[in-house]
Amino acid sequence: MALSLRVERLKRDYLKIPKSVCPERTRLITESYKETEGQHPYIRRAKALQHILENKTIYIREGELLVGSQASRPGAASVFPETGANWVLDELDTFATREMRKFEVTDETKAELRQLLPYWEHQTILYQSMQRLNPETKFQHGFKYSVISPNLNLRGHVGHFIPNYGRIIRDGFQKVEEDARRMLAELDYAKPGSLDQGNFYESILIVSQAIKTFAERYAAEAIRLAELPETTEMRKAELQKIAEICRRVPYYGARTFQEALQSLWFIHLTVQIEGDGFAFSFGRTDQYLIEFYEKDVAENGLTEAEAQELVDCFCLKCNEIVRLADVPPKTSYFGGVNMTQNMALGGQTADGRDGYNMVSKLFLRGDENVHLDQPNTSIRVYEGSTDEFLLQAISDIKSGGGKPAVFNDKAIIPSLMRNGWATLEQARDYGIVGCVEPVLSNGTDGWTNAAMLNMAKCLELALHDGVEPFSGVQLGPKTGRPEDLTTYEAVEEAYNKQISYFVKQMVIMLNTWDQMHGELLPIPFMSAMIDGCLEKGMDVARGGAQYNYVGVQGVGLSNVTDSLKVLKDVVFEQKKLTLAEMVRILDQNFEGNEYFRVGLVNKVEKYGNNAGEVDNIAKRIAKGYCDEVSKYACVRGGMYRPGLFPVASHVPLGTVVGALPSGRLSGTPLNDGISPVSGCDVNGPTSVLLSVSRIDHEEVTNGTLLNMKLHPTALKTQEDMLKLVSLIRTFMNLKLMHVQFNVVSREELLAAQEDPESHRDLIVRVAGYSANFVDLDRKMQDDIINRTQQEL
Amino acid sequence: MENSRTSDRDRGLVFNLQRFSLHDGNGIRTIVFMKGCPLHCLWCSNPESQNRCEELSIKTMRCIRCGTCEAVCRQQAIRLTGDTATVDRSRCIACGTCVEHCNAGALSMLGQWMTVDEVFEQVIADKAFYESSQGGVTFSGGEPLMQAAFLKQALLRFREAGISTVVETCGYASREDLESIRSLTDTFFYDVKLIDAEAHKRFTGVTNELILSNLAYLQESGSEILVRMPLIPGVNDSEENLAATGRFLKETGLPEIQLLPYHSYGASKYPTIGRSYTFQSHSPSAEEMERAKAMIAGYGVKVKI
Repeated sequence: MALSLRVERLKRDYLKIPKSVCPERTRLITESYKETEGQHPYIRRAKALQHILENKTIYIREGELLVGSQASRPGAASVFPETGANWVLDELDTFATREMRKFEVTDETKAELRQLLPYWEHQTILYQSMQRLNPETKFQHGFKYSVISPNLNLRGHVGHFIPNYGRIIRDGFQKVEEDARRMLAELDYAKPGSLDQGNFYESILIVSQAIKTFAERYAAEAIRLAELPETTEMRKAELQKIAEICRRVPYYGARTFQEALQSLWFIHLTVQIEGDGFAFSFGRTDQYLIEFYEKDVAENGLTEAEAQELVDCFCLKCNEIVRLADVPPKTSYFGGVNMTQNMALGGQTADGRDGYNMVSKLFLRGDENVHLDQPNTSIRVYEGSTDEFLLQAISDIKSGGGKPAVFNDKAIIPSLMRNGWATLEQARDYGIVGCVEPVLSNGTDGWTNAAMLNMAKCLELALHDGVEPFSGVQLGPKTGRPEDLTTYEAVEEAYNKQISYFVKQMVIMLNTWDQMHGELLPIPFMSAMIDGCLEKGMDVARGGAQYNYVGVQGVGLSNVTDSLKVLKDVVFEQKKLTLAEMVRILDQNFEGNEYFRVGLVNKVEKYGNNAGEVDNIAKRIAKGYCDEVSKYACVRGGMYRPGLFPVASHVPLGTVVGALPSGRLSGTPLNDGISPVSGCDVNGPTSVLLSVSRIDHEEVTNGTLLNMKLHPTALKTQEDMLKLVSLIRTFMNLKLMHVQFNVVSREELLAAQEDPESHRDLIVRVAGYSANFVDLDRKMQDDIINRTQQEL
Repeated sequence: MENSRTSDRDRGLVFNLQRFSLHDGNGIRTIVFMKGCPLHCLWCSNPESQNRCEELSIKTMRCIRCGTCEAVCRQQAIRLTGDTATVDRSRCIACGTCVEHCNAGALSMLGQWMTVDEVFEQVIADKAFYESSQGGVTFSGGEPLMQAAFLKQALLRFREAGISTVVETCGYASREDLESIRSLTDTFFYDVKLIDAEAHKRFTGVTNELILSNLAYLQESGSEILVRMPLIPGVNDSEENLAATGRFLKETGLPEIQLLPYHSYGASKYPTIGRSYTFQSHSPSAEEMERAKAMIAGYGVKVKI
């Protein structure tokens, strides 16, 4: 099914719009904050949102069926001074000129922001956190070649929620308001803590009215447009319908499929006006929308084509959310990443039935039709997942772009139930946040992408007695000079000590940021939709959610694994050279030792080939990180949870790590999640899955990432697609958490021609034939690339 | 001597184990590529499969010109010239010393003598994938029947383990050898390249009487067979050959054939073993495939492309 003309036109217009900076929100929130000085932070935040929603510029684009936009014009990104005042001022002149993620900024905008932002300078999370950090941790945070990248929630809102959107769509904000009013009336102010509770309920009353007003403004705008003389009769009818819908949702419960989608869009949009976090997740859209779809089909004769057009409009709308990306060198790891608004389709329902339904299908098709970054589509698989569902998903995968990612109920549900954390019913109802984080729907504040810890850097420090080699600074603890590390076990122990020290430093940083978010940045609108907050009378930023934790990621697992294997074999068993000699060679980035280096790459077993010992090292290193992280508690009353995925950080984090014993050169990218080092998995996808399955996935509770590349020749026919279904079923039985298939694009095949060493895993799959893509001669490669182009 | 092992029933000469193979039988399979082939088809896409002995291969793109191979070769068979090392094939005894020292992975030894147990261990590692996809093992080559004793033992081992077995064959084997593996093979993938005996000899080096009669024999004895034909423009796409193919299949009672479009992806491999690819043809277009399909289908044979 192709896009309708309407959606195609909307998409074409969307693609033409340049990104720009919009100062409107900054102006409105500053006005509000100046008026509310001295009031409770809950109230200040609620009133600020109210002031923005009541006064921001609104518009409806020609042809839109679903309405509501983030800033004053298409393509514009708001400035959130409460998180960004310091860095936006620093970067204001570079937004339009920097290399990636450019934003146009007019001189008027610059002048206005320069006038508005100083008010915020001392009120940001960044500023206040830095005032509170202890000197040692502050040094670690500021150091140029830092081991920890914890800045996402320091320089922006937290995001990473799966709000209970289903509850709001069904019952409306009216119900939230009623509940808050009742709880407020029942409050005993003599009880300690009730003061905050009272202010919390009041903040909920404010935002409930604010969202009602916001939607009604769109109703008025639709009527205004409908009444313009140039409006066609057809469009007029559409606009009148839009107006009717906007008068109803999200304050009252939705009745039709379009009302449900509009309600969802309004609330999802408003959380991104309240805060500039990444990764606000839709959760299980197919589960909470199906009742509206079915009812609309039965009662109003909604057709599949009509429903598809609405879903396509919705998928396109998801791409309109723009965040002014913060791309100074230290945080550039997030520079290339999109808004990651995840949507998990299929999988088991809370009571164990197959969740795949017509809405899952509409969204898989919508994602394929619209074919843009967002939404970040995922599927969940379990034993009962049908071939029909998987083939629908593979059709989307085949279209390129790596979506949807595949998540395994069989690994994730037990992981969420570990240590009695969630019940079976709750665990079955999980959704995905951001890239790969499995999260209990509706009531979680998981900070799931709070920081990255550079495991490869920890190994480098362990090989240098804690001294950072680029700077000569004693960065980590003294864990022994190379001369003193006389056994392989001693090397692993030194590495573990470095990990242990830096995990602790990371926790200190994040607990600081977390404390400051609670004090400075309550998010009442989000709190209304996160289960637990109303019951506790507590904002989500202070621990109001049912489930609280902080998720932190280790990056570089495979580089560390392959390096340790080299040290074990070459230094300690074959004794080809001493550890000190090895370190000297690394310090010179293998200069003059290319023959030695390629030997380390080609002649020592690598993780990802289903070879026993090296895979066991990976298992041990993963477990070591998880155990260390899991020791710590967070300030909102939960624990830290470990993840092994990099978002896009493996590239920038690689730039601060020197040469490694695996043969990896200084400054080159680290591996991606738990995927083998690029080009080292020469036995193909089955061996990769078997290797990766050695890692105990249940323990990596915040998620893992496995990227698999498929040569386009592997996915040509229906039969091939069914074979991928089988591969996915085996993946499920092996209890891996996540896999993402990338059908290699023309661009990547071209890249493979230039860098064969990193692309040895590309096998050309033609009957009765055996060859690696990179070993073909140039002409043959060109031929395959050209064919690929034709077939995709 | 290494060569005395050729007849050893316990070891087979294997040049590659390719996992996650999708186009050589049902489900996800591992292909065991056996080395040695009685045919020398001019278009062969696996030239390293032809000689029934170990062979040194050099991938010049991987060479870092370190010169180690030249230094360690006692036969003085390898020399560093220009961009890469070159091998004097008349001197090389395939001892493997240079391969061992080639850190860059440019030099490799094609062909490894493996026991049935070694092959089995490697293949069975992917059992989980065969189970979920109804896949298994496929013996290909080269011509696996050139190592019939080994093949028989290997098939028996997989049969006992309940793993599905496919044999890809050119059919040029003694009836006795074919018979020895017939009941151990779930499916034969059987190549029919040309019906005209003279043309067959010209393009493949052997005539096809044995091939066609073996095929008829397998059919009569009730084996499951998928006949495959690489469609090679200028070689076997003539009206005459396609008609003859359709007639032969119909007369033999073979209901189905799969046409595989010729590709030249094997060309890059010739220089790695000191040979050059002189064959000239082109990949058939979708129209050419459809035309051939229609011609054969005209004889009441089902044609898959």
